[in-house]
Amino acid sequence: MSNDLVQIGRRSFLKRASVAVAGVTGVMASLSPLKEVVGDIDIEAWLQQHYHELSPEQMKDVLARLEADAKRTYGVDVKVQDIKPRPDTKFAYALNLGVCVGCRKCAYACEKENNVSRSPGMQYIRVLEMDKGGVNLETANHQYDPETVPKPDKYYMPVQCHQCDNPSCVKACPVNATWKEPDGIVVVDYNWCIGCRYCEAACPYWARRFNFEKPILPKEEINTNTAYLSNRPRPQGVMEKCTFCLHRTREGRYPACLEVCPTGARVFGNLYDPKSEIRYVLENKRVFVLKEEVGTVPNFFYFFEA
Amino acid sequence: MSSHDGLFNGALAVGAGLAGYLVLALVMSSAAEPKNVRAPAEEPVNLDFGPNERRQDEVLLHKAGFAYECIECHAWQTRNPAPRRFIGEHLLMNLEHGAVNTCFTCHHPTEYSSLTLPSGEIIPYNDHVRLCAGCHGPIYKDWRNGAHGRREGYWDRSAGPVSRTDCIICHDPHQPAFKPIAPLPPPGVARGEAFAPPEEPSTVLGQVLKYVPPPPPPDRAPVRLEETEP
Amino acid sequence: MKDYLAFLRRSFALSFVGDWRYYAWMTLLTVIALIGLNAWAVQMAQGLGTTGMTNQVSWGAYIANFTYFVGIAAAAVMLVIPAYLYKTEPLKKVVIFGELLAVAVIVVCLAFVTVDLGRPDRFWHMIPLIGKFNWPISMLSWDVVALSGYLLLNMHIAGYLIYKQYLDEAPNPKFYKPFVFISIVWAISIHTVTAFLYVGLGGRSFWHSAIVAPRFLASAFAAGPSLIILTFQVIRHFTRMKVEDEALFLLRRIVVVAMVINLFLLMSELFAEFYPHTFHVASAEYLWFGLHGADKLVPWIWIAVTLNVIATAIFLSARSHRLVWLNAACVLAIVGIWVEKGMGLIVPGFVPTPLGEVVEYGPTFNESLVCLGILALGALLYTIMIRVAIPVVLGGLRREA
Repeated sequence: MSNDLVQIGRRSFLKRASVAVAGVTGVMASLSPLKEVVGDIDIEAWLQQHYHELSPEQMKDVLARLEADAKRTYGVDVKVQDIKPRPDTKFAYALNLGVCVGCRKCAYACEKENNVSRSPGMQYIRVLEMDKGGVNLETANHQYDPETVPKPDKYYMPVQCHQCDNPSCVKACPVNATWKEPDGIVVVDYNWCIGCRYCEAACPYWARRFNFEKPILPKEEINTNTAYLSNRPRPQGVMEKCTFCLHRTREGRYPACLEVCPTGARVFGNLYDPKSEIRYVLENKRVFVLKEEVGTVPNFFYFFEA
Repeated sequence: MSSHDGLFNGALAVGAGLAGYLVLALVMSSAAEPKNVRAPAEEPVNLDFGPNERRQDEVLLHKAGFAYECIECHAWQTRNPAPRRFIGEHLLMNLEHGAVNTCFTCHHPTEYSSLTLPSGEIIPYNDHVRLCAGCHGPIYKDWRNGAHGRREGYWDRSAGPVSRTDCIICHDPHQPAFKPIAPLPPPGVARGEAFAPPEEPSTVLGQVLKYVPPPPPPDRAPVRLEETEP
Repeated sequence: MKDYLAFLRRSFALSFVGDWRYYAWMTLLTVIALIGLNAWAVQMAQGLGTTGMTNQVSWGAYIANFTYFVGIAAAAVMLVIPAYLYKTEPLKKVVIFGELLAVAVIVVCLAFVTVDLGRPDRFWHMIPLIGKFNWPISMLSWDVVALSGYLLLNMHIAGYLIYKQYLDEAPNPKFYKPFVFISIVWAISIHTVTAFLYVGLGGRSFWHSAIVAPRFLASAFAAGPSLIILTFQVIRHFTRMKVEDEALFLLRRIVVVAMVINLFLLMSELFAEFYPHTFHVASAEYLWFGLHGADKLVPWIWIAVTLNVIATAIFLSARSHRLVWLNAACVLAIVGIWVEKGMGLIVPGFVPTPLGEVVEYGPTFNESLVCLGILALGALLYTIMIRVAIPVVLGGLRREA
């Protein structure tokens, strides 16, 4: 500038005021798209503390608020519970690749059970079509769609959250919005997640899903039996994942993906119970874990058995 | 070199940089239009049992609005122990059950409405698991321990019951291999473009399975089941 | 304290004063920044679905630009080291503008991270004590510490020196020298920690390589000083601030070395990927040759490497002692490294996914507007800062008696 030393006081009040008005108008106009979401702002929700900091009374209020939110958004009476882990329990899963036919019923049953957004690619379970003769994920087909499955030269490998003992996603989270519960389930506090998606990048099993937009949930298909840490309706902009259906499994029931499997390829249970089905598989079958070399120590096992 | 030149070049360079960024951004963004493979609202998918569902009650032949018991025909028909093709009312059946190639491996030769164990013991149809277990010991053991077969209910038996499906719910006893079924639709991608892996299998076995052998010489007629000796 | 407030007030007022070119430039930047803000508002209302990102490629242009600009910010240290450690006179005079550039660029980086958040409204969850800050476990928390620390350091050093000149007092070395030395180490650390964000992900083999951090630094010390060379020429053209050619050519020497090292590290990386040709080569294959027919990035990376090679050749030749050639080489290096280290580093990390799915990513129009808006914001901030700093440095702006 040639006039660095210009006297500041010369500017008229009018000129300054017009610049200020123009500036404020510009900023307001730029932010106008936020008008449509201003109504959703809930100061109580915004100030809500982390799951671990909530007292039982506060939790009660939170659950009531979430139920009211669901009622307002979907017009459905959703029951949201805070179901705590059971003592002496550690959940694990096994999947028999020898009998899985790749019908994807697990993926769709899970989507429905867990109120997952019907947006493409959100399902927690991804079934891979693999070439017989190896375990090469790089050539797995995700979008296979033949008339019937199984195809004779292929086998099928469903992948979901492995509920690792050394979860890289939990390590990644900058705000502790995801953690491992005492029963082994890696959960997300959807009211705490800031949506940075670092956990999604960290997961070697591609098991996490992000709500890129407001979840698409058909009202009539909403599962009204929900839990805070699992399948309650989620907001936009947060991460979610498979929780082994903790709202079912913590009450002793099987996960939805297991019950729907037409070939009985799925085995679930409590690792600490020597008489459990999962223990039978781990002790009597030769199981393997996917990507053992990444050191995440999964609680999800694969085996081959006719 | 005067500083005037430098300033001009500098301004030009910054301008070029900004313009370059704009072009890059616009070119790359034009190629990224949302493409939803899976429509948001789709007709509800069928999560029902699948095609191998079978009745669990006693075996009846349904014809012209009437239900017949086996013995109603077999009372006057003679027994034929030879391996054979199904005829008459069994025409729709196919026997593809490994080494089992006669009716009376499982069906009792005279008590037609019952099954028989290798020991000769007569058992009712709904007790068929004992029969299956006679040959399929390891799978029976897996089934007993919850590692084979479809289950519903409670993993925690103290919290509730578990319903376990019997063998014939999933396996047709005459053709026990699991039938191919239609898969549910692929997941699709929300945005961007998905690319399929190459058609060529990446594994040796995959390549071998794709291999189509040449046709057999024409003089070798296929073996016919009814002509083989028992 | 009263003096300080007066300084701030006068600085603010000064930022609205200039000739028509200044107004044109500031208006242009403000308009672009507001367009960007508008695009961000659209994104906040409708969600990150307005970007090209998917669950498959969950980071895109935002994080790519973030990574690149962290490098630019770190590169200010290439002015600081010669100026303070070696007391190189021509650079000592202008080092303040490098530190101010670091401030503006760090703001750009923080803005790129903020727009990438799905829930920017929950930003407070990251504040220690009030929220839950997963430090020292999460590498992202390290990066937040590193970036905000670097921002504070540079704000303090530059702000202190400028304010002291405004007061017409000699700066007390005790109040800035220690911070200068901390900032040198810190500058290296911000880019190392940013590299570790990616290196620390064992499941992403494309990033899980020890060479990523050194590569980051080499490319940063090439692109950053290149940008500073250009910026200084713009400054000396449009203001009365004199920047000697010698300063520019001193920076050139740094860029030459950094460019050569960068190309060497790139070559090492390529060898490690392609010669053994393990499964893990898939991402590199996608980037350099295309995978399963997906090849959107292939032309970009080859253009980028070509630009980098040409730039290195120019830098190495005697021609780069002429400003025209030097500037051309700087532009090539800046663009080449922007592609190579931005999209060329981030996107292939997601293609294929850990489960082998190949989904391509490209930024949407809205996403690009947000990026442009942030860049304009950075330029706006930097312009205001030098608008205030230059009169102070030249003695035109002093405390009123």
